[in-house]
Amino acid sequence: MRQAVAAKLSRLPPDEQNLLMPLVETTPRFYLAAGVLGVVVLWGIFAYYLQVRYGLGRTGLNRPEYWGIYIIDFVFFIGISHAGTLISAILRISQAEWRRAITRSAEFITVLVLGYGAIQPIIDLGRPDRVLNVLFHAQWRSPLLWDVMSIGLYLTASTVYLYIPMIPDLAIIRDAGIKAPRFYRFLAAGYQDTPAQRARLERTIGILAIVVIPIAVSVHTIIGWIFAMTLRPMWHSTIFGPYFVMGAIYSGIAAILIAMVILRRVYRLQDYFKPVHFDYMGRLLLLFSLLWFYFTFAEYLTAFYGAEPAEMRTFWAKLAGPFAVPFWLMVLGCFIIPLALMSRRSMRTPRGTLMAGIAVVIGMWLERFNIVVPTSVNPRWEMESLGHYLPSWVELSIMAATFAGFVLLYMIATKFFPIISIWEIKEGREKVTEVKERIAAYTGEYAAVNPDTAEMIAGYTGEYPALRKKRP
Amino acid sequence: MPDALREALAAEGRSRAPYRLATSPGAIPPVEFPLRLLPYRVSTLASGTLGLQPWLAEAPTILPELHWLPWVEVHPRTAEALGIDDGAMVWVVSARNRYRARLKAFPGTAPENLNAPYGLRHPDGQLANPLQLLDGSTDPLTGITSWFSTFVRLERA
Amino acid sequence: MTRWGMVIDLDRCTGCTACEVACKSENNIATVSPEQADLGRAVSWMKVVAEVSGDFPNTTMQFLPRPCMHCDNPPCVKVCPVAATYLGADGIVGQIYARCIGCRYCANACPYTVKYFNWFAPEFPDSEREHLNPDVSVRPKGVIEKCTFCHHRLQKAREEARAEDRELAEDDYQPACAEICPTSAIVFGDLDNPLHRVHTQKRDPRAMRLMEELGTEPKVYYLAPRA
Repeated sequence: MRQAVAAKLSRLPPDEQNLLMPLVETTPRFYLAAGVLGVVVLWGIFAYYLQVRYGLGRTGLNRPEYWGIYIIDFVFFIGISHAGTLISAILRISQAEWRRAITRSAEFITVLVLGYGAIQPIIDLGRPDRVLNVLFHAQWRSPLLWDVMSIGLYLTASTVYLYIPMIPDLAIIRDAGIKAPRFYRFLAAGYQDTPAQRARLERTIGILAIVVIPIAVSVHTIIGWIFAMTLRPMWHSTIFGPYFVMGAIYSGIAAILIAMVILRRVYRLQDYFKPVHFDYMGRLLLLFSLLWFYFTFAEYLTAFYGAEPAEMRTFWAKLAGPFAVPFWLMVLGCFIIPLALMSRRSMRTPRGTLMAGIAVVIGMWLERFNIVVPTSVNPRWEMESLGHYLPSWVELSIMAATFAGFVLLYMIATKFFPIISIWEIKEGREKVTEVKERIAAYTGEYAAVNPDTAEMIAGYTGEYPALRKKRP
Repeated sequence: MPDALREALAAEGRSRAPYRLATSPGAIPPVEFPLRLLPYRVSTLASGTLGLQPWLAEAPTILPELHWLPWVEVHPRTAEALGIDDGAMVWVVSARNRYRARLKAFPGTAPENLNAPYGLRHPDGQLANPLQLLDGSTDPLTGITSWFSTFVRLERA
Repeated sequence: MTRWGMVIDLDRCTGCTACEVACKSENNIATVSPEQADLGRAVSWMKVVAEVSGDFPNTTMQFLPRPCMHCDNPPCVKVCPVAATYLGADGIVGQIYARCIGCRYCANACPYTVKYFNWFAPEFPDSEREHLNPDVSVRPKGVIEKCTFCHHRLQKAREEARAEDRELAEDDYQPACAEICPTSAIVFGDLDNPLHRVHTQKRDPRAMRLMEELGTEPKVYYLAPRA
């Protein structure tokens, strides 16, 4: 980086230096990764062009298998979007101090993946040129329409919930003058970090955190209802609303974990993503793996007990028939691996949580697959032959491009915005006394004399971090 | 009138019955051709003259999943014994000729028979005509070509 | 209140599939290539489904012509986000091709799987192009289509009746499948009009509807085969 910028950066306190380094310094490794991802994205755009030009026949979809990869990806991506908003909102409201390092990266995941998820149904349309018909000719009894509304609302709310808590950091960057001064001056919106402004900010964030939770819950409930409101066997289940919300939070936690491990490694953020973060997130993952098992077991047990013939065809297709492999792989990824790994303290480390997180992400994608495809190829009208489904290269290319595009945008975001909230980390350090007093209120003793608690709090916010080694 | 019949009618001491019984050829299948070929007319295709009509070629018969391609029917047990899946392409082979078709396992077929519709073509124009497989034997009484005395075998295509 | 419906006598159906071909001819339905047909993308608004039971020599087949059921409580209409599929005043569940966005939600919601999708733009061989029906629009790619009870014939029949200043008679409006059926297995008419055959036939002891327990209220009745 240029001398002037380096000089300005070195005048900042250590937190700012560490966390703003990615904004001014980009490695060749970054450009290489971005290049590869960019090529994948372009390839996917080409595949989509072919689909628009010739028709959805370029996919592997057919009658009765009307929905496939695109809808699976839609549910999957919107599910991951519950990462940020729900986690950071719930942790903020419960005043969990360990959230401070995580909230920003989680909120970024939410906003970006929501965008990519929201375009999946449009990619899936036979006539994307008519997509505005959902606004001009809205039919209010359709769950798809509720979905359009709720995702639109969620996208707005989570963008605001990303932006507002980022304002103090944008002000820091503006004042440091290390990058694009006009851009950050515009974004910082005149924030000077006066006590009055800070108080107003905190109040707004507090309200947003509460408001965003029911919006997030409604989004994935409605997505579950898109399936549950039809009469398709094993879709028409009342558990789908809560099931999808729980699954969404689950996959979101796994996505945050993967992001944390990678960011920690790539930007050398070991002083911020501390062992305690992986321990606590790992525990959350464990909790949700048990919840996932409970919901899944409940759904399948009731279907089995009812023994309704149309449902049993799909049921056995999943458990022992053509879809047995994806089904049991899903159980392995969503339950067995995370349970085995996250129930041990020794595995709730960056490496252990990465493995568990990847298993969960793959398992949850397979769960969406197992919901969409086995039911689609076993329609209620059994007198005609069964369907079958093999995704075409067009669908797989677009899916790869969506994943690549999300990662690429996330990478680019880390170059413009600090991926860990600087002001919240500092606030956490300053607030140690306040937190100790709060804990004293719970436990009834002045925790400052309790060395364990003090150490625990230091564990969240870190000792005053040492400077990162500078590049020659 | 065929010679055999003329002689029989002129023979001394023949019975009052107007015809005499004669064994027809092809009562027992040879080892290398175990299935009896039964060419038949598909009711929807009017002797095959409508086989080129696109709607009819796309859905020629009431049996499902037989779009566009010529097919032959065997009993499911026969297909299983031969190790060929329902829907696979097969060669229908007789001593004289052979053609390609899709196999359909249909329980209405007698296990020792192969029902073969005629009048069908492959999409590229190739004929799939079971009548080209007939061994040329004739009915001893009337002298017309015997359609149901030819035996065939199936090979994976 | 007019409610157009059908009664199909399963004892009379011979599985000839004339109704399928008549429907395709009347409604400009395109064929698809062999590869597309193998994928399950062939379009057949009216389909004669054969149920094979028993083993040789006691094999029987039951034929069941299956058009759109034109439900009075249609699940497809409920879920369409743009109201491209709708329940008309005379009971026909229609499809607005110009508005459909091709999301296939209605196709997933229909328990009878009667909705077909245009995966590519329909193509007609030259031999068929001369015989396309000018009364029926050709659908573009990316939209859903299904049996319409030959709604275009109703419009024509109504206009003729109005021009001749008379009421619509049962014979004036018959869909192509009912018109062509050689055994008169398919009978079509106004279920609520006492002068139409379907009005009486729907109350036949043999009359039943498919998947009635789902509450879709289909208007296609079937007379179950005797014994």
